[in-house]
Amino acid sequence: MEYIVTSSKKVCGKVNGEKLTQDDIISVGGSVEHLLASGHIKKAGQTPKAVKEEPKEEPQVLKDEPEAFAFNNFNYEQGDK
Amino acid sequence: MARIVLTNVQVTVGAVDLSDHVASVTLSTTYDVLETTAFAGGNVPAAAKTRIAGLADNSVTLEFHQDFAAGEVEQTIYPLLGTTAAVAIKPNTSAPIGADNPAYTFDALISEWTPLNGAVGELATASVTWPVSGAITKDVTP
Repeated sequence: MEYIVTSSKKVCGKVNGEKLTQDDIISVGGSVEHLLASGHIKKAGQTPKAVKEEPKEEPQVLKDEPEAFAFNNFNYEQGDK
Repeated sequence: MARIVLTNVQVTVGAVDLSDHVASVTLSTTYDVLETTAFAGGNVPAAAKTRIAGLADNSVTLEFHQDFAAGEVEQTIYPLLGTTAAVAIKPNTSAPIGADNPAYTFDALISEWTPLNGAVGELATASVTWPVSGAITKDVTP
């Protein structure tokens, strides 16, 4: 597994943008999990997380008597008990 | 052998180089002293105490300049609290490892942290002393 340094600090002697492997990290006693969690490295090939705006969906309008259906369903469950 | 002035010490914690936020470093080793004085047993009487070394006890003291920015001191140290982390110290960052620039590596128990420390108008610092778990390795191989 390859990682890219994203930190302003040197990580395993590598600077921002340089690649390093899991072996590089382990060989100096580092922890991949810690470095990922603290934002010093990211997985190679991983694009930065962009804030995606979800397309707004029009609220679905059930044409076949939605309220009546929900009501009936509720009554049905109640009746089971 | 020249005396050295510390201006470029390299300090890495958990593989992250935090040298530009470390103002002082002290790496110390002490050995338990075990007394072995005994009666001479018929020969020459004991005249002075005798001792041998027991277990080594190592620790490192660092003074950090606190920084809460992404990828800086706080984000690096805080997640390590209560765990052991690899620490490496070299007197001169830019010089190669050698007899005149040895690299010390060890596992430190991140047993304490002071996220915020300082009075009004002062620099926020964190002074910590971490016990070393195990031995310190001194590397002088270029």
